Amino acid sequence: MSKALQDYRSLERRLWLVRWEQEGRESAQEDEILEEMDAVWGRLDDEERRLLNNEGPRCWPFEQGGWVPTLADAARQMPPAQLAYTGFSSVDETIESVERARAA
Amino acid sequence: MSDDALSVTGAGQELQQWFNSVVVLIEKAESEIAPEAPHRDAVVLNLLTKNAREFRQAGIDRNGALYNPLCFFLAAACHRLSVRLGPGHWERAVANVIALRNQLRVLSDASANVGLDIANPVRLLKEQVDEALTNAGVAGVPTYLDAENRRLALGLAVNWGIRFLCAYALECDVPADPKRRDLGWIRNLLAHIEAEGTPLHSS
Repeated sequence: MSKALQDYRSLERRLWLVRWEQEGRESAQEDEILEEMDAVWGRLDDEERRLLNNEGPRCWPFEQGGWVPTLADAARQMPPAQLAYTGFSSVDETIESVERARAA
Repeated sequence: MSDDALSVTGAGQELQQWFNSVVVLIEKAESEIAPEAPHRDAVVLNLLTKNAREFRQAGIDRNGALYNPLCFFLAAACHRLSVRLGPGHWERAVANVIALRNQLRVLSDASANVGLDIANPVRLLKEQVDEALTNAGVAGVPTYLDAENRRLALGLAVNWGIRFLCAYALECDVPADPKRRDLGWIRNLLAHIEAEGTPLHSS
């Protein structure tokens, strides 16, 4: 999945949640998200746009028959975890440091 | 029951008022357990996860056993999301459930001819709630989603949860008490609308 499509899906999810929280009423948050979606739409390729047009919008919680957004791709969007421990010694380095300590 | 309540819109308003009274009661209990705000957040989280776990692990029954954990979960989740469910949320839930039951009734009749058992609406909706609870990371099962998507999943759990409540009420055997507004009352409210075949409003 391209970054642009991932971003679009992420914005769809945010839009659904904002509309759901506001009970379908318009809001400034909704307008901001729609503007971002317009910008991301420009970065999608033709196939991705066709896919999104065919499946229909997933961000209308109060429409009859409206789909809910998919979370299928969301897990892949997690950034790599920042590990608390960032360094380690290889076996050779450990042996060398022990031998140096003994020699000292 | 008033004439207004016989419409989907009327039912949405009645359910919103009923749920508001549930939320107020639970918030009062939370304040009594933990008068200070940070501790109250911990109480809400505990209520949320305990009841989400209980709901997810439970099977479907017809005696209303899921009513308690579901109501506690919905109230705690709305508190956590800082959302007040309005009449529109409930109206859409009622409309969806009635439409789903009609669709599955038709399919069920057709599938019986070939010996297939099409899932009933309560089971379908429970599966959706369970999946959303898992994704939200509140049911004692790991989730891989980040904070933003867990919040969405919690919203989806509430969204599916109120639909489940409507479908569950319609299939339960809990007797209705005219002095109470509980699962039996919800069943009677929705059963009237379903029987009348009131045109469903689209938003």
